[in-house]
Amino acid sequence: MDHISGAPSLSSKDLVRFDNVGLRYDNSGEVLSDISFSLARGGFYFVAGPSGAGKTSLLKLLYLAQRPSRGKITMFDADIGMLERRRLPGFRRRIGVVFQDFRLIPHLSAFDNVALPLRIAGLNESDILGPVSEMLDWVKLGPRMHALPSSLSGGEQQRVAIARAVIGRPLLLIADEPTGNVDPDMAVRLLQLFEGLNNSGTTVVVATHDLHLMNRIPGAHLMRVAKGRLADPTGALRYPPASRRASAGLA
Amino acid sequence: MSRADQMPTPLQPAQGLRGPVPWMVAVMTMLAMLALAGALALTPAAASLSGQIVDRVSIQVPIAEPLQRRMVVRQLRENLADAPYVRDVRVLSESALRAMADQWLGDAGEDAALTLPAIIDVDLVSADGYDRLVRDVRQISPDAQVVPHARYLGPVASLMRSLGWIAAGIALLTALVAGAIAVLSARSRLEGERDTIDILHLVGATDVQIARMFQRQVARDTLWGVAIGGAIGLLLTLLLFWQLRGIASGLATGGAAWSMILLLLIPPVILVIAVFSARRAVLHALGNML
Ligand SMILES: Nc1ncnc2c1ncn2[C@@H]1O[C@H](COP(=O)(O)OP(=O)(O)OP(=O)(O)O)[C@@H](O)[C@H]1O
Ligand SMILES: [Mg+2]
Repeated sequence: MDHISGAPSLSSKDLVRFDNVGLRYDNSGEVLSDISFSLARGGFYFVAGPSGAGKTSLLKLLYLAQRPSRGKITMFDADIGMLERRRLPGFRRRIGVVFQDFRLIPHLSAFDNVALPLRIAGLNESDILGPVSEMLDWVKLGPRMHALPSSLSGGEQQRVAIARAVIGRPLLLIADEPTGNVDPDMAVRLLQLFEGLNNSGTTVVVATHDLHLMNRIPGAHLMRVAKGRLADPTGALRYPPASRRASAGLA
Repeated sequence: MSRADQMPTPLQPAQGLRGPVPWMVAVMTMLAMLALAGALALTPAAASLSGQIVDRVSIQVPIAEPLQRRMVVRQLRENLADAPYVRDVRVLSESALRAMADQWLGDAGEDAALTLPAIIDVDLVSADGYDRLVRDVRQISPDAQVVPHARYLGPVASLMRSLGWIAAGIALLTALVAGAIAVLSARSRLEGERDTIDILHLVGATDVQIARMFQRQVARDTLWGVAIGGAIGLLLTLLLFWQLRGIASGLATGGAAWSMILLLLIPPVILVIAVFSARRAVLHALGNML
């Protein structure tokens, strides 16, 4: 299936692989060009770059909200370009997303927003109540669980968005500026949440302006995006090593 | 999937009776029921009317001289009464005819000394007897005219039959319009829910799951509509049937139970049409999204 690498071991080791991917919205120029990288299973990745560089666009490709205009994306051992539409939900259920603008559903309470992925996946209500309450407690929103998003602060909405992204224990967690609206203490706490998930096997991708965050995750990889391209002076980041320990020096 | 059905809907709360959809559906349901009631009333009425007229003829004897006219009439009646192809013969009394003429012409009729033809109504055993009747009547009185009822009541019967078909067509069309209303309301709701739909897709909802959420809202709106429209439609229909029974007791009402069942089927049929057309429209729109 993976005719580029030719090495079967690569496809089982890597969760995601981009080969010369380009993305354009409408008919304007490419906002992403010649993007090639792979994400190892269980890796922790930061995506950094100036505003407008294309971080969100890159993440959209990762969480299957956009299809590439050119190039090839392999994810969960499937060629995304060839993926039938009806198979998308199954793929998306393995991906948790924290959107830059949260995208909570305005008519649903904090609890129901967090419970949404579990309900969509068809879990019993009895299997939903416990984990969702626990998760809301962890992000310190237990007492606000029945509040509608409109009555929550920006930071609180962000925490609901994060709780919703991680509640289903996704294989791939993608967070777009997940700590932009919370105080530094909460930022650390949320990062701990990501790290805990990462330790249990989830591959994590976090787009952020805040490079201080990176220092908190030893062994995390950095992908720099500038003007729609992966800036990669050393070349080592194009295909980051699978083991975090081996590449700890890069971060 | 069934559990996702019971979850609190991520869609905007349905407007219910505050929105226009239930009321539009109610009007369509009522119109469909009235139209179908019309069709059901007219078709048997037309059938019984044509059943009555195919084998009935009138003989007019336009002889001015009263004695001679009465003689011809008596001769005709006696001959026809014995004919094998005749079931019944009735002579309209002269006084009845005169009274009828006065009704139309007032005193003018008497002043003009208008001579009225004698009229004999004949019921044939079957319509086949018509030609023999004409021949026999001519032999007795060449001046007499034989007029089959079908000639002037026939157009009425076929008009009633056409009206019946038109009414049935209207019933069908209004039911379809109710479906179209559901489609339009689902489409406009779809536009207003683009963000929510994107989120649902991205957390892994299938098109069928999302369509089902819309379907439930359409079903709720339509249910209100068919319930209100159905109740009013039924009431009006019963009222009309009741009036019709008073006016034309001769018209057939034998299939009343059947008619009622067909009428009561309209609201659920409209509900099903609405929900399924909305589902199709939503699934089609979702299929064009990522
Ligand atoms: N839906 C869209 N349609 C057209 N152009 C878009 C769209 N989304 C983003 N862009 C353009 O693509 C480029 C990259 O945008 P993107 O949002 O990916 O940047 P970013 O790195 O996430 O920025 P920020 O740090 O501000 O979030 C920008 O020039 C932006 O204007
Ligand atoms: Mg962005």
